[in-house]
Amino acid sequence: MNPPIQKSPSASRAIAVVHAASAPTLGALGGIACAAFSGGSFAGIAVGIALLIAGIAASIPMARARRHWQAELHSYLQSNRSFSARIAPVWSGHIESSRKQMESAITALSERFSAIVQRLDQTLHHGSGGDGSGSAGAATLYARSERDLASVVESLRESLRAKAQMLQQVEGLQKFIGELQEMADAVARIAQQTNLLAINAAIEAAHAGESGRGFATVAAEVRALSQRSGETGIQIQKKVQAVNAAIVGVRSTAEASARHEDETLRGSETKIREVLGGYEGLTSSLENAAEALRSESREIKNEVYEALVQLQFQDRVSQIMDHVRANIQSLPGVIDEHAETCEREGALRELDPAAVLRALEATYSMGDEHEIHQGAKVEAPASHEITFF
Amino acid sequence: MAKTIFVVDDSASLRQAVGIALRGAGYEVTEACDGQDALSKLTGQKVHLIISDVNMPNMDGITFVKNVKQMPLYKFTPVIMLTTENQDTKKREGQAAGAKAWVVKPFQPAQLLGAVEKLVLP
Repeated sequence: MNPPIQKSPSASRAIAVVHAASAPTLGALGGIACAAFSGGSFAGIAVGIALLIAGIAASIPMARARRHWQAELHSYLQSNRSFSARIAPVWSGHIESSRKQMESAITALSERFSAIVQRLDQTLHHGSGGDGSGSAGAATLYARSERDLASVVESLRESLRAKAQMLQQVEGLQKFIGELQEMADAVARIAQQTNLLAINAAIEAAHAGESGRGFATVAAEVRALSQRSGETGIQIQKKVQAVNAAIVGVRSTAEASARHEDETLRGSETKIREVLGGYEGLTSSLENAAEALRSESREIKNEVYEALVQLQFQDRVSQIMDHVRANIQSLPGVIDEHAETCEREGALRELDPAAVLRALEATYSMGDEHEIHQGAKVEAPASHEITFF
Repeated sequence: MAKTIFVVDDSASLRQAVGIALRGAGYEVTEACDGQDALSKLTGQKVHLIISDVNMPNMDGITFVKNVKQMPLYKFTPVIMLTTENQDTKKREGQAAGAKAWVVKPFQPAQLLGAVEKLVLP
């Protein structure tokens, strides 16, 4: 039972009225008592009647005052009911609206962070060459290009070696040309000696006279043959010289071509080395840049994770606000119950916060809430803890 | 084939946060917004681990876990409670319901992942 209010002016007035309201009853009781204890004498009855009338007469303004007080009390309690009934939903509405707005904003923010993390993951995947692109892909391409170009250069070298062999074979032909030249010279010398032999035979045939006429014809034919042999020998010499000149020309051209191709090959090798060197440098720079990007992406991901941890405050704050909102919503009921008690007892009673606070405490889910309830100052949420069962 | 983790929480932002941490580690994540929603979504698919909040509308996490442990297909699926509750009485309720670990919010992604890796089904 709550104690009566002692100090407030309205409470003192209420107590005075209540006390005053008992005066007519006492008057009436006094009148009856006088009449009873006077032994039925006229004076005693008269005093009793007078006291009764006085009591009844006094009760009329007293009753009026009591009705007035009750009306005032009812009005006051009604105003309290109206006060809480109007204010509690507004407070509660604002808290719920704030909670929902915060939840909506934080959810949207989380979705953005989620999208950022996904894009970072994709970037890291591309950067690491997981899909064949990126710096790792470039490094592979470089290695393949180096291998392919080395193969091309080797093919060119092989071709030059084949040409050098062909040149050696051409040089070998020149040796045969010399032999052919000697053979042509021998043919010319034989034709010359045969001619001399034919001349001598013709002379001897002339000396023989008529009997040597047939031999003179043979000598003449032999001489003619030797002349044609000599001409053929000259033709062979000319042809051999022409072939020799052609071979020398071919050899000279082939040597010049081989020198040129060798120089070209060397130049190509130098250029290829330069291009590959540059490409290697580019690949290396790309790899360094990609690694820096990966490192940066990992850092950003960690930052986003940290931000997500911080964003979890929304869940905690939302629950706290929900607990407070529910408690505020219970206030009209508490005020109503209190008003009913006051009206039933005809007196103002103190509003007891204990029940409301107990109800609030019963909704707590976090240690922080209990600590704050006990008056402690909690600035940061409790540290993360894991319990395995 | 990525392992599937079922996240049950009435806070969309928390589901996002948990989802980011788990997907980043290569897990597949499915979600439900309370115990009732979660039970309606457990329809026979393979789930390697469940992470559930405790205080949720419609059906709280403890009741949800008790229901899950009655389902033949999911009775051996490990459950981690992820909640703001840190009262020992609540933890004991979770343990009695069948949960394997109790993580108090706010969680650190690395810590949560450590607990997941320790308990997730092969």
